[in-house]
Amino acid sequence: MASAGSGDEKAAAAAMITLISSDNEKFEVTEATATLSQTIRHMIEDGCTDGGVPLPNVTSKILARVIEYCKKHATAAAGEEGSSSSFSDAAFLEVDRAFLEELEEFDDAFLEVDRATLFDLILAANYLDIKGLLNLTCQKVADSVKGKTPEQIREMYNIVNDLTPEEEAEIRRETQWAFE
Amino acid sequence: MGFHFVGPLVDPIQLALGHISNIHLVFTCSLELDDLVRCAATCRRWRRLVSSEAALIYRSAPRPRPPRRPASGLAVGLFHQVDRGDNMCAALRFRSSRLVASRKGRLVLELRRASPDDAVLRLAVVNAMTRAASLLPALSCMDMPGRYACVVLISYNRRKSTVCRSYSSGTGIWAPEAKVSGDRVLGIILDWTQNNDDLVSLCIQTLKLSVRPLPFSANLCIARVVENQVLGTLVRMLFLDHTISGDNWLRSPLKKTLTMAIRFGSTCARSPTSVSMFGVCETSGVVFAMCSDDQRGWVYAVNMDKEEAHLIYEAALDDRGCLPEFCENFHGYEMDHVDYLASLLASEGDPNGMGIEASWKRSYQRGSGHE
Repeated sequence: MASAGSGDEKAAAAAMITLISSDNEKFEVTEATATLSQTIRHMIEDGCTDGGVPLPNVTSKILARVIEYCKKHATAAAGEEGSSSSFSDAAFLEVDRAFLEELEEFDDAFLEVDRATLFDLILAANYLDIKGLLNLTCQKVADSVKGKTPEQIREMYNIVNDLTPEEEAEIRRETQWAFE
Repeated sequence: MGFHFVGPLVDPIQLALGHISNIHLVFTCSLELDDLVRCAATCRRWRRLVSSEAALIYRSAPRPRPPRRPASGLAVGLFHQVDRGDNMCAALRFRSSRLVASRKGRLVLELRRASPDDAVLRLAVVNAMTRAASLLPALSCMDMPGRYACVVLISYNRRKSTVCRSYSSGTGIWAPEAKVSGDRVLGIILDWTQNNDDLVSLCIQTLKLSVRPLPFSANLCIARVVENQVLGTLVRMLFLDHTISGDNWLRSPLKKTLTMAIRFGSTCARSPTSVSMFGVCETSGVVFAMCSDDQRGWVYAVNMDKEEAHLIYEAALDDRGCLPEFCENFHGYEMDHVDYLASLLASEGDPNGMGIEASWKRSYQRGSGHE
């Protein structure tokens, strides 16, 4: 893993990308890390990254978290590719399992953020078109509403109830099974 | 001047969801139907979001384990038409039409004839939730049936025989008339008459229809759709055996000793003097049946798997011994989760809604023990 990782770092060192957040902070990342974002990948393919990639919709605080996610997943992907050619099947499966567990632990820890940060990450993942991060963050939101009543969901997300009492009663009557 | 924090002016999740193109992702993340329904009941925006994106939600949702039976968790309800040209048919773009059948989330409407002498039968197949409609080729002249029943095919009496013919949306044409074995047709599976002297059976795969007399004296009251590896999809008839006391129902004409007890709850007539069936939702296996005594009638949606009956309507009988608004033009209807979620918007008075809520009664049947 270590040799594969350092090999990738050497290869990527020649291709560094500068990302510029909305508050004008610059982040140097490898191309492998940056191209987890389909948006940036297309910019690289179009040769539009000279002088840095401005990301006016992403603050430095959120961009740092996004890069942390991309680095981990890009490194893990590179490690997986490197290990597949040098391990036996059994060893590869063991490495694969360990790698997945490590990645899951990372993702769980990564999502330990406040609600505002979570929504900013959703917006950033959508803007940068990072499918894995978008799925991960949306799943976190979905998990939070599982088994909750409408009242609990409203309270959790400060949602204003704009349904009239009559409409609410009608909804309850028509979908009573979902509230039992 | 004081300042009071009243919370964010814009709900953060709505702000987030409102700005991303893949908004359905939150709702596709392994949320069950009841979670989605509760989300839809949170506020208008979420209701619109869940309802309008229902197809997208279910198309892209990960489904880790497919249900063993597609019937599990269907939404089941019914349509009933009080008179021709009611609001429902008008909402479906077919004024003065008659609802003649319902099957697998589609309604069959008989379109208004140009004049009483107009000997042309025009049928349309309509998805009530999306209002998508297909007009079937008209039947006229020699093809024109008289009194007919219609489910997957139509069946009617010729001078010396009973025939049926089916319509294929694949070919877009009516199949030739096929002779029905037996003397007379009382109806076809879901649409039989109150006369229980004969048994009508239909193999849905082959569309082979047959009529035969009942092997013993009992009232045909309930049927269910069963899968048979050899024979295909069949309808199994259930009969009320007068010799058994209480609410016991005899299953299958060939096995008189096999009984099943339907739990009717406390509101049922203890000793119904008659039982009639309105229809079977073949995918979910839910049966609509009415029990009545001399004065009142109770309409049930019977879950055959759970052996439970849910009361959906109760009223005094009219002087004909019928339930007002229910005995005629009653059609069970079942829809999948996408249609169910999409229909949530209809009752909001949305201009794009279907406007058929007055005729559509929801009666969701969960699980059936097969999930």
